[in-house]
Amino acid sequence: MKTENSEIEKRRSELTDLLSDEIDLLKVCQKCKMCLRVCPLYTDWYTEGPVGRILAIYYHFNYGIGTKKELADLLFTCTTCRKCQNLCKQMAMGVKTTDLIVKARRILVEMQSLGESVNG
Amino acid sequence: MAAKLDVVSDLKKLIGGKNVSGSLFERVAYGQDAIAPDLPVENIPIAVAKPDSSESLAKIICYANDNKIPVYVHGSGTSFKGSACPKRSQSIVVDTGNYKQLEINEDDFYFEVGAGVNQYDLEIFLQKRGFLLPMNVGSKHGSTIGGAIAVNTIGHMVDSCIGKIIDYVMAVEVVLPNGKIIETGTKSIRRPAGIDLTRFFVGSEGLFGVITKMRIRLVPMPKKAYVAGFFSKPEDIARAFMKIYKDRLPAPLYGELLGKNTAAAAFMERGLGEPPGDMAIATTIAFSQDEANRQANEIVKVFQAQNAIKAYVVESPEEQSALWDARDFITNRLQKQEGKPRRLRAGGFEVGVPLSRLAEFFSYIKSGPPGYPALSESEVMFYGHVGASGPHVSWTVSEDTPAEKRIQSIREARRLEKEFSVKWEGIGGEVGQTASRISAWREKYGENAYALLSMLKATVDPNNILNPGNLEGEGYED
Repeated sequence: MKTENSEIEKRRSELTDLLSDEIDLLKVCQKCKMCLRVCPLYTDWYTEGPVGRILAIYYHFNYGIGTKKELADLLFTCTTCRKCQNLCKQMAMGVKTTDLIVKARRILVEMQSLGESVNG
Repeated sequence: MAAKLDVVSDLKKLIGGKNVSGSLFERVAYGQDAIAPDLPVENIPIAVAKPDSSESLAKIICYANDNKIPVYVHGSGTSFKGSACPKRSQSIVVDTGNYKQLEINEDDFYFEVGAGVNQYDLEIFLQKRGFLLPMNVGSKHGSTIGGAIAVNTIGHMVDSCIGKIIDYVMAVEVVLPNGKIIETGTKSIRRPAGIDLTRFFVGSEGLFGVITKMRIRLVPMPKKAYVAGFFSKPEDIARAFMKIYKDRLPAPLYGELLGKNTAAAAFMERGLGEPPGDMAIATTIAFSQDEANRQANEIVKVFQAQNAIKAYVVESPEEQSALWDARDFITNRLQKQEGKPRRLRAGGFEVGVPLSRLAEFFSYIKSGPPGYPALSESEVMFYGHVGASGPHVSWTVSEDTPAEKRIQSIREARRLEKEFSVKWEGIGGEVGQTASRISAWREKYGENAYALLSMLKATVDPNNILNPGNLEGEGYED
């Protein structure tokens, strides 16, 4: 049992490290909000669009802000159409918004499967 | 004070539930601006409010005043100096994005626009009707007209050609820090002589009120001609633009510089190949195409006389679009390039310098100014509005550079910006003076000037609820 727990902890740590490499790259995002213009889901609030979602990922994993459930609720609404990622490459910093959202989703799912509460 | 209140519920009662968010991630997202450091967790605002009328905003302001709650005004948060970020805890962020009014009155030769209208949308709206928006801000695809008016910026355009946006703003509607709503100015294209409160608010960076609506004079779309030149060093480009003024040629609408290393990624993205040198581009304007072309040809001659590798009038619309887009989207330079480590921004600034010292500016930066060791080790990138004598410079480091070194470089850049403002007798002409820049402003103009500004703020906003910390430079202490 002890070995199993330590394996789970190790995997959790690996997942967090995996994401933190990507999150580091978010520091280049200038929050120019151009991505909102092409997002099919954005209407009123930033978290409906790419910039709000990636800031949520950044602040959750860097500062422990919000629960994993709140984060998942945001990330799983993304259609992954990649319009924001393409636009950012052409006109701005080349932040891989969609790739990051997809990666963060996978990590959240795997963390949940490892027994981590989505409410924490 | 706010800690004892249910601010989100109170605001929902005041302006309607759909216009207020208490969601944690929403509050984080609205608390950021373009390049400020991460928002300290304790400064995450309590609520984000999106009022849809001046009266709704007035209710929020009155509530904030009664309860001494800081209010931060957010256009789209694309400021480069931290002014849109909450500096104090337990605040409300007010987003002006719902002020979408846009009406044109060609008989009286003006348009009225709400603060939340996107600048690019406005530009296209006017263009379709044969008019020019006399500003072109780098972040226009994301940013609002209200934010630009609040800092009196024209972005990339040349002041000597087009003026500042204040020269076109006929009137503003403002919600004052006491919740009262006033309208300034006139509906006549004949602007008020003497006291005109429009001038008090335009460029006041949200210290004295929230601008919700503007009336702006129409500007007929001029004919344009385009010039490009490539040079072996930026000093030659600077001298070319100095010569344009010396020869008393009409100042162009745009006079831009893009260093070779700065342009490389943007050129690659647009299939333009390797830039042949540091690039200068200019756009001339006139009533007739012949006159615009004549001015463009004169600039070509000036470029050639200043050692241009090549200089020419850009005739093809495709090339015009590619070159000017390369300038507009220079953040491409920070994208990861094939086989190379990513570059990260490690400081930068824009500054107005006296025209006679424009070439010297570039030599001084290239020489590695003494006292700035981290900047000397970073890669320098030039760009900016040399036609307006407003160069920009930024430094980058490789992504594997230790964070402390990058932070040192950012701090040194801020210190160097201050050196230019104080010793070189110019000051930033594009992004405003408060928040991260106020200490430079204070040193340049002195304590008497700062005391006057503080006194004005205290008179208009005695509880200091509107954008507090920006005039004090909180979070940006030396």
